[in-house]
Amino acid sequence: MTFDARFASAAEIAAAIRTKEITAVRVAEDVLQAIKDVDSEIESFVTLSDQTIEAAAAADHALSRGNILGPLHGVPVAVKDNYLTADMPTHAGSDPATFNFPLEDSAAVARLRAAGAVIIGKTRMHEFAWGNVTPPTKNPWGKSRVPGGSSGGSGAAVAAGLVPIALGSDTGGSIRIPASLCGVVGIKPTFGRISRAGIVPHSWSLDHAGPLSRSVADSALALDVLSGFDPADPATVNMSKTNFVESLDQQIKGLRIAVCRNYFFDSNEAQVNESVELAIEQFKRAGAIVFDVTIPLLEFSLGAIYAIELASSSAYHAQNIRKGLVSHFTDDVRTLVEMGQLVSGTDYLKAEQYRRVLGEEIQKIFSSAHAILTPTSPLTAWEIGTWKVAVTNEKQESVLAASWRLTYPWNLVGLPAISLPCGFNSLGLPIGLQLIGQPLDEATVLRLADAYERSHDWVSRRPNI
Amino acid sequence: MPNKENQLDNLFDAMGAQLIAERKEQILNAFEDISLELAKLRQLDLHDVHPAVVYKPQGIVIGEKDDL
Repeated sequence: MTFDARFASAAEIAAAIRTKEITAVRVAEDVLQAIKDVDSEIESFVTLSDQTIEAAAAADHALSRGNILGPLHGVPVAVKDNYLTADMPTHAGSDPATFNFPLEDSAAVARLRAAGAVIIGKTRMHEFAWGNVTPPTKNPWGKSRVPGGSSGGSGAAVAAGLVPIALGSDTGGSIRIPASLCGVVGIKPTFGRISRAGIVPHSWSLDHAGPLSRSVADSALALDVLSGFDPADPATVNMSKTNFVESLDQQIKGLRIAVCRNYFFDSNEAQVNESVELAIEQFKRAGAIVFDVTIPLLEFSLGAIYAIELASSSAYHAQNIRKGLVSHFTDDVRTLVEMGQLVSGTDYLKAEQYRRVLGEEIQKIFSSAHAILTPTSPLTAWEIGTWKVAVTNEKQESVLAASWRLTYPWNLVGLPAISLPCGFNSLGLPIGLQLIGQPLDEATVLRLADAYERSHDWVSRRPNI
Repeated sequence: MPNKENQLDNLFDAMGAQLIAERKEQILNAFEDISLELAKLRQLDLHDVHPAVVYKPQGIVIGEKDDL
């Protein structure tokens, strides 16, 4: 039987290439054909590399000489359009005629290539990572619906089975929200775990790099490749080499999971809460000790994230504002970038003070818990063109305010957080579960997520595309 | 007495905010909800809390680049 790369995992593709069941060139050709056949429907890619076949041929040549470059040898991977690449232009989802960035590999892309990955192309993103819609990309589970954002192209490409792994970036939920809305896995590791050097900045102290994939195992594999100290990113931590793949296939009996009952369940779609409650029961059946907690300080969190993110974004774009180049932005992003100028220095520092006390409050929970569990997104994928929603039919709010409510607190405190599917609503749209760990304890987060993933068949479901 | 619009313009100028005239109203409207959240944050008494920003003097060795 011929190996089919579409919907195959990165580990499966790498194994098939290593055992010469299929060549890297054939995998690359199949992936490019799948993109040609499918991507006109969902528009997840903005650029395809013209060096894909050449890179795959180099991987085959290396293998023929007995050289396995790394765990992703010959595996096709996509990267978000805010990661610099030497062989493709980077536009950060903005106007290509106005904004150009250097043709060089970001640290994360360099690590992927060194591990043998074949970088297929760049995925679409919400402009400058400032939004959760990602036009014109469509959600593979409902093509009239958004994929989320800002890494919406990565979420859609992975969900459609075009690549097993795609990189995203996460400032307030931009990996986890598209993962949740597209029914895939997305992990924002600890702040400092993966270098952001060569990623177009959005908000320096909130930006995280990370992978989206169809399985927890592939996220663990990608995280092992991507993690490590880099002097070019002052936030990175100097830790020994990781082996997150070892966290897989473990039992979870006795692990303690805290369910945060305030804030995270207050204003969600009913079917989101129902699915998460079922997941909680599954964790209990698997032997985890589950208990409820509250984090009262969260009621102040929206002001804090806005102060830091708006001010940082305006600072980054200060020259674009001064030169009038923001007139080339889409209106929603231009408004946010210009608005950041109204955040006072006092409010910015107040937000930085708040991060510290919020972090301390959360650390108290970790004195008796291995992980915290919440839903990922209050709502499932919404219709394209909708900018205001009433999640619980109580009050209208912007889709940005609604969709990132459950993810951005973990950017404020820099903790590792994963989203993985925990069901589908009555319309067949995916629902996401979020697990948060202690600083640098991605291993426990992955262990819990993997155990949950193995308890159901969500991972084998495919969108009709 | 200066009118409200002039006061706002003076405030924007003092802050160094660069907003073209026809966009000021849109930006202020969009900022309204956010300003309420900022006001809520200001209620917290955090006067003795060190903000979560630490400056590291240049040249301090904090690690070595591991092998790619």
